[in-house]
Amino acid sequence: MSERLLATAAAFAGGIAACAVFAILALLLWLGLPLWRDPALLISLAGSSWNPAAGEIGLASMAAGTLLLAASALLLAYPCGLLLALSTLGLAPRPLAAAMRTLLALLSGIPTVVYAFVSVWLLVPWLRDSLGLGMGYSWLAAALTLGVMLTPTVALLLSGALSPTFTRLQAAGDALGLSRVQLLLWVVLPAERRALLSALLLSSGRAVGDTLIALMVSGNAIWLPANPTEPLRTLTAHIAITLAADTQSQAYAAIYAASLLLLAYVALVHFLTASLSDESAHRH
Amino acid sequence: MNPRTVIERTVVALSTLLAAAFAGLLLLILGFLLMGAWPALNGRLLFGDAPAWPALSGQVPVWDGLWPALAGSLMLVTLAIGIALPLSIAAGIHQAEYARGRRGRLAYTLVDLLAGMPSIVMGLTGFMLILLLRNILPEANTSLLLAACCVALLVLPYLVQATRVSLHQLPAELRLSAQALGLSQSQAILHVYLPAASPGILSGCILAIGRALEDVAVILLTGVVAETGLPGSLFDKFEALPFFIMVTAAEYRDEAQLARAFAAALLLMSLSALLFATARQLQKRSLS
Repeated sequence: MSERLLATAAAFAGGIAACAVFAILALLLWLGLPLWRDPALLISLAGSSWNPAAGEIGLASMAAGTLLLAASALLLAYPCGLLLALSTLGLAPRPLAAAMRTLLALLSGIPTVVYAFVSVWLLVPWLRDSLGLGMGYSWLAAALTLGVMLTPTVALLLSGALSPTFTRLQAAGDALGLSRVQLLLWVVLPAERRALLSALLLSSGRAVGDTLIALMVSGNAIWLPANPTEPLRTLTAHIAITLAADTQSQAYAAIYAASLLLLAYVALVHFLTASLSDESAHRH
Repeated sequence: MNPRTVIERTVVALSTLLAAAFAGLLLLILGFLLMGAWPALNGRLLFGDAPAWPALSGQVPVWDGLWPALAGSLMLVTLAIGIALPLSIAAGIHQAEYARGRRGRLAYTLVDLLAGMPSIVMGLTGFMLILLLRNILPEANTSLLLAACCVALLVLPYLVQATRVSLHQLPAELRLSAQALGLSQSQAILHVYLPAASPGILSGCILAIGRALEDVAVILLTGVVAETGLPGSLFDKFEALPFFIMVTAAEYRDEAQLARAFAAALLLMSLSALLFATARQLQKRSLS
């Protein structure tokens, strides 16, 4: 009796957890129905003019804004994260490496809203008043903030991914007379190309999914920036802003399309990383 | 000099420099927040001018203190974890002990996908639920309960993964002994495996609390507001600490409110650090 009860309860909960993704998709598709049925609106989605009252709901500049912000933040966070990961693995002297791990854990634990808040009162005024870069709220400010926020996470992710191979090869490296930096750079990194790539993909998912930093620091203009000192708007921030301000059904429909775009990206990242880890499982 | 040697030396120098820069960054953030928060760090921080005891229970409204936001955040996190924890432990048991083959792998994949979803989409889900619900109940609106459900959805995948991994990592001898003693599967799960896996599940739970505490994107669309006091029921709007910080970054009434937001950021950061430290301690203990 209790056998069946536990198995049924577990299967029920497992079913709920597994179906949540489908439920979210179904809601988006169902509430977006007016949009899917209207070819003119659907075509305007791909454009770059946002004026829901006139039936123009172009998401192109927001989609490009998301990609620009995520790519530039990763351009900062990934190399920095990699260098910090290498230093926790063996470049720094041992007691320092332990302190570094604690520091990275502390930094990755700082809430996103705190990073954004500090940026609004420290980085933005500095860009505006000291460097004279327009309003300060800009692609540049958001990219720097997001990049700094992602760096410790990337570093911890990479140091976790690289450390088994590094530990395994350390004795062989010592026997060959390789220094730790030589072992890491010329043996461990090339051997773990896939892990490096999948960490990049995973962190790109984090960068694309961020809402707060984009919303609070990027300036949120609905056109594309001509250079990094101008504001931009991401899809996530666009969802938040539109739902706070608009009540027109056409604006809502565009929000569902924006969410589907974000989910498509997340799914793509997931399946790419999954196929990377499958292949490396086959090789070993 | 050999070009490889140049690269090696550059990498060592750069990584040392970066490590120092990020240590400096932590100090800068702490120092900057502390400086901004200094005028507000006194006995009036939580309740302002309101008398403490009646304000604590919400009988007297607090207009110039952090208490309504802090209490709202605590209620939200308690509710969300209360909803997510039983559900995700059961789902984790299902994935680790019952699900097999292709259907099992599909269940993993779906939960991993949920974990990767941007949090704003979880908030939008709550918003869409209310839109649908209004067809039946015209007065349905966003509220503490709805926000807690959506935050529960946000932390659910982390908790399921923590339960699944902790159960998978149990030593094989433990499983053999339980079976050799003639325990049925449900007895073994409830009385042997779950207690043995509990440190891992608990540390996952603490990380989930941290995640729920700092989230803004979900509650932004599901019922948080700037000034409402303590929620009277599950169907009321509520305040939250991270939302107060976010709002004050855009507009504030007076210098006192700005100082309170700095103090709130400091408080949120300390709470997160405390939760992370506890979780790390637990993970170390469960590994040794």
